[in-house]
Amino acid sequence: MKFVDIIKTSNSNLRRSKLRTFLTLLAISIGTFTLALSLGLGQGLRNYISSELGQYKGVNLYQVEKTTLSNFSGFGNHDPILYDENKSPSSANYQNNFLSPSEISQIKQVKGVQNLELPYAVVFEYATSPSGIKYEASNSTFLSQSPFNVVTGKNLTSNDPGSVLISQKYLPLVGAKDINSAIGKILSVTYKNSKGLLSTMSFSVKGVYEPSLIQAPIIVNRQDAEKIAKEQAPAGSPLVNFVFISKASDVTDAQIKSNLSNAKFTGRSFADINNTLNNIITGVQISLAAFSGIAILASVVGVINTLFMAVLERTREIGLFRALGSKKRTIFYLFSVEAALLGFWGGIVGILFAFLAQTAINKIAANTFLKGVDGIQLLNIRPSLVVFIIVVISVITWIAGLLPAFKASQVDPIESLRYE
Amino acid sequence: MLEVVNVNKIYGKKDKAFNALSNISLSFDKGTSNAIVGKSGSGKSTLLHILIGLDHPTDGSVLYNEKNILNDMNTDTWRGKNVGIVFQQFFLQPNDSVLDNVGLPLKLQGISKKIRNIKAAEALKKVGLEDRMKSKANDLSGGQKQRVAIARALVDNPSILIADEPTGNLDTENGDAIEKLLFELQKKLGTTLVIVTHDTDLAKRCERVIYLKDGKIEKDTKKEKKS
Repeated sequence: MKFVDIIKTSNSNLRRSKLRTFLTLLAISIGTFTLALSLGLGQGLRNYISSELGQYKGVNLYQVEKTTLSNFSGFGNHDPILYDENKSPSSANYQNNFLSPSEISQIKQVKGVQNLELPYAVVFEYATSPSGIKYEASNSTFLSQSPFNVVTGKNLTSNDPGSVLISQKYLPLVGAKDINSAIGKILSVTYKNSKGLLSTMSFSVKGVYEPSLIQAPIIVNRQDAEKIAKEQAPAGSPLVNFVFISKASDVTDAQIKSNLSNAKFTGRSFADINNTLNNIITGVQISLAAFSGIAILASVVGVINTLFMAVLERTREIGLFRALGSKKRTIFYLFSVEAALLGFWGGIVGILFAFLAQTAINKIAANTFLKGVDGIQLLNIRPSLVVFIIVVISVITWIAGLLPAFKASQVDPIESLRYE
Repeated sequence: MLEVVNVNKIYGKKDKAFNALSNISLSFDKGTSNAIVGKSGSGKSTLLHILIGLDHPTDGSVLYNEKNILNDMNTDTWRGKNVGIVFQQFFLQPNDSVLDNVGLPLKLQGISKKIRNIKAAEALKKVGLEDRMKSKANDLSGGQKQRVAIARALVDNPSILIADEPTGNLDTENGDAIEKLLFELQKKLGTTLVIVTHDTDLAKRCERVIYLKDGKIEKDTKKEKKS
């Protein structure tokens, strides 16, 4: 029998007992639906992180902090810990994790480290628009290696006092109607110094960049950031608990991390951060997929049951086929392909429902808890994922159908022709 | 053409052993009509199953053109290409069209739909049902169903046509018509016909009648050919 005829015959056999087939397909489609959603959720998050961190790909930038950061033991519910002179004291408030000027010099001297930059922690109370409206003014310090997708104007340089970059969404703060008219406009910010007194400083907008989740909406030049940070910190206190460095071209990623580690510092590139986030998502995805697996397992039992029923119902037909010259393997193919088709159609139905759910959930998410976060699709069921799921489900149900198919192929044709 | 050589069939073992067939040797010549007659339990169905390779004899062999159908060839392929079978219960696919039912043996052989539809239409013409080829098998009368079964058996021009109680499920009128059709087609196509029946009237229409009793050949009669 030709394979195409086996598929057609198996497919038409599914229509013989419509209710039974429907119920089996329903069970498979529920499993497929949950699997598609869980994998689609992971893919959606992964895509978003990748698009956000993608601009850092290949960027020579490492975040360096004290290795002792992991020694946090602020929670009181533990037994007394013996003092170890080789370890920094544990802390409940991270104060001891700030980098002192000598430690910053130590990092500078680590072999392979170049271009060390401090990410000054500057706090603005508010920004005042030309029309007098006060806005929150979240910001970060410009880092020379940090990539910005500047859509108009120019990027900052490491020596650019008086300038800022603003996000495309922050045009109202400078009273600009469009991105082109924002260049050269004044951003007026107010901050508190260490004594609680308010000061105001004005910056000129040098460039407007495409907003991104991990970039602050205002990027302050290094010189002014340092000045304000010093005003805001109590006299003599350290300013940062991590720094950014670039590595020299003659050292590898592993070497710079090893050199930093030997000096009791930890260096992480953005690729590491990306990998960590992806690992977390993969973990979540596997957990969700495991739940889907339970639903699929239940549907597999349904497939086996359906196929055994079909073998019983079609015993005489099996006998007829054998009497008319059909080989045992043809009977085996007919039933095993029928099982695979149950998975295939169940998969298609499940995927269709998953697409409907995806549209609805993404819409609801965009209008509620993800409102204002551009570029994120919570669920992203890609075509390759659809093919993957349908193939996997078909293979699983095909395997489930092997035993009933084998039983069908072993039916005694003489007995089956007598079967009532 | 088709020979049964010293065939024994024993069911069960030792004390419970039962001889369904004992030392049966028969030869069916090409283009002849033959009947195997016997009461229930005489062994005629067992002999039929062994003849078409659905069952294996305990001893002995079945030869087709001097080749053992079980050892010298693929029995399923041989049966599909050389043997047409008509059953008492018709065994049609109720929801399939008449054309698809008749083309089923060809489908099992892997023949394309186009060719099997042509051949099935020709076979239906032979049994006078060319106008019902699109009907569902379920919509036919008993007599028509058996005609479809005959067309299915003849669709690939087999050299052997086996009919197992072909009129057993039909009323007298339809039974007579099917009998007539079987013999007409057998003569016209030159097929070797083997009818298994307990109906002696039907058997007597064959050129040769083999009487089975308790698994043994009781009598083997041949009509003398009219000169």
